[in-house]
Parts: sequence; C-alpha cells; structure tokens
Amino acid sequence: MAIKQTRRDFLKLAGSAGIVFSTGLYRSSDVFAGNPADEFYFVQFTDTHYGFDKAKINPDPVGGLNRAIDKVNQLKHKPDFVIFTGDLTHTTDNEDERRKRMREFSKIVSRLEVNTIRYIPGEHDAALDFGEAYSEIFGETYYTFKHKGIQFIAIDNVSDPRGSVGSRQLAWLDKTLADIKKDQPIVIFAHRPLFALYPQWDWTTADGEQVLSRFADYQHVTVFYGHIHQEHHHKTGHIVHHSSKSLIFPLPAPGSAPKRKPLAWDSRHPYRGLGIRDVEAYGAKLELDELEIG
Amino acid sequence: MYTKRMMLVIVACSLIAVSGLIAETGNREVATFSIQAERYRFVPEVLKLPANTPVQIQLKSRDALHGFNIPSLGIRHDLFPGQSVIVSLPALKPGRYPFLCDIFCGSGHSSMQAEILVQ
Repeated sequence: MAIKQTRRDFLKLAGSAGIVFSTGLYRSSDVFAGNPADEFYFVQFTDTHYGFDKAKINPDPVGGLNRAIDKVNQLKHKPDFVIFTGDLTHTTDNEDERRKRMREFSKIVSRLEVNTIRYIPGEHDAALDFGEAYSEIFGETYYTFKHKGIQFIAIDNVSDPRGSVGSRQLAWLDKTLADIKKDQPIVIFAHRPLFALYPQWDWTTADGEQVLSRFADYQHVTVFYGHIHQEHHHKTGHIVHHSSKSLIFPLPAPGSAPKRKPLAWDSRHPYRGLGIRDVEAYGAKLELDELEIG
Repeated sequence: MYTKRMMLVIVACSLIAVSGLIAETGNREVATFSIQAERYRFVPEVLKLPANTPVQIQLKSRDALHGFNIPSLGIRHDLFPGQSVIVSLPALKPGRYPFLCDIFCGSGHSSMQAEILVQ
C-alpha cells in the first residue's frame, strides 16, 4: 500500500535529518475500520509566520518553511493534501504589507508538489481586520469538505480578535452537522485550541465549549490545531486534540515558564523544535508521525 | 419632657455621625490602584497589593482596544481607549495572580502579560 510506504518515507527523511514521534496512543478510534480504498494521508504545516523578522529568535525565518516543503517534495507518495493551520503570516498594522506577505507566502508554498493545499487563518493573519485580507487571498475562513470517508470541518477561532468563534459560525456549524451522521469520522482544523489548555497564556477559545458540545454525540472526532508552537495531545471527553510544532520558533510548554516567550535559537542545532506532521487515515483510525525539520 | 426630647435628638445625631464615620472609614479603607495598557505592555508590569484587603483597580488603555483578563479570578474587561474601568478586587491571599491582554492587538500581543503580586 502506498500509505505504508509513506510512513517508511517519513521515517527515512527523519532518519536523515530529524526525529519521528509515534503518537499511536492518541489514535482517535479503532472502532471504524473503513474502506481500505479510502486510506490516505495528509500533512499539517502550522505557524509559519511569514514576515517575522527577529533574527535573535530565528535568523532564517523562511528556512523552516522551505525545508518542510523540500521534505514533502522528497516523499515518493505524495499526501492527498497539505493543511496550513494558521498564522501563515506574521501580523502587521500595514494593510498593504499584510496582503504582500500573504501573496509572497502563497508563492513560496506553491512549490509544494501536491494536488491540494488548504488553509485556515491564525490571529496573525486575520484578527486585525476581521479576516478581510485573508479572505481576499485564501478564501473562506471556515468551511467543510469530505474526503475519502472523513468529514473535515475547518473552524475559524481567530478572525474575532477576542478569540471566539461567534454566533454566526456556530449557526453555520449547526446547519452543517444536521446532515452528518453520528458515526461519521470527523476531523476538525482550528488554529487556537478549542479547549482551555492554558488560559493564563490565552491558549483557549472564548466559546470553545460551545463548539465542542456540538460534537458530543459524534463518535469519532479529532482536532488538529496550531497556535502553541509545540506538539501537544489532549482529550476532552471522547474528542482528541493534537497541536503540531511550528515552522518559526518553539514556545515553552504550558505554564512551564513565567511568560510565553519563544525558546532561544540554538545555532548548534538550528531549526530544533520546528516540524510538520503527517496524518495517515484508515477510516476513523488516524496515525500520526511528527517530523522535525532540523 | 424637654430633657427627654433633647436626649433623643442627641442620640439620633450621634447615630448619624457614627454611621457616617463608618462609611467614610469604609471608603478610606478601599485603596485604588492603577493599571494602564498600551501596545505591548501593562504598566506596571507587577502590581503589588496588600494581602487580605479589598482594593479597587482603575484600568485604562493608552492606545488601542485591549483586554484585561485575570483567569485565576475569573475577572475580565474590555479596555477601550479613552475610557476608564474600575474593578473591585476581593481580599486576596498572598500569591501571584497573572493577567494578560486577551484581545489580539498586534505583533507584540503575546508579550502583554503581567501580574498582581499580593503580599
């Protein structure tokens, strides 16, 4: 199977340049076997912060993204799609510069040799203008699509600078879920954690509980998110949440430091703590590989 | 009779005076402190407060819309520029009470973290 080969490809890439973390313990479910023909995988990129310019924190701010693109392009069997879970660009007050960064970012990621690239916004992309520039360049900030037996739902919890989803999107979610069966495998993409991971650092979504409560009766729900610049795994009830490493700088573990300051760049180990994730889907059973790009 | 009426007036006046004194004393006991928010910091970064004493904090933003959130106390407010918000804090035990801006305000937003130090 191509998908088995994919894992070997990832391991090989990691063996040459990084570390793979198996997160099999965090599989969403083993219940739904699915159709073998529907097996596929996708890759999560997050928090690229294109436009970031603090050399002490990262002297090669586009290097992580370029290396990640190269890794994916080296894969013999390409992912069905790549998802960017927000903070594609680093924020700026200048509206023209904001759009310029987004266009330049699009040009860079067009190097990815995959058929489909999907995006959701982070607060750096969308919070200062309520998603206006982002929508012009990348399209809708929240949406749904079905791919090989999995219903994907992209949630926007950043266009409101208060970090909430809001009543309008919740109404859209109600309408979307009305047509989805309770045993349907669901994957949610969001930028911020939908649960209260660490509110002291604003690592939460103001109305996240209202989002998650809507999935309470769905049996197979997995959330992939970014924002916190590190790998993290958590369960709320039966819903599993996975954050991925960023491609710009790592942040400390929740509450492990007085402030959420970026971890220092280590010139002996450049790009350490940066990475991407591959997610292999076998029906509702998901398997994750974490690939460092250092 | 006259003496008795006089006594009642004196007692009444005394009660009013005493109650006024208590109220005045109560007001004096609630000290007011100040926190100002600006891109991208709170001033002061550490607000020292006395332990086991109710206080008030006057909150102001100097520039943009910011949030003021003390998660451990369940207290949050929007801070609009030009407006002042008064927050009453109950008597707190000694300790650190971090607060943050929870409304994305720009590139340095994540550094808008500070704390109340009760001692």
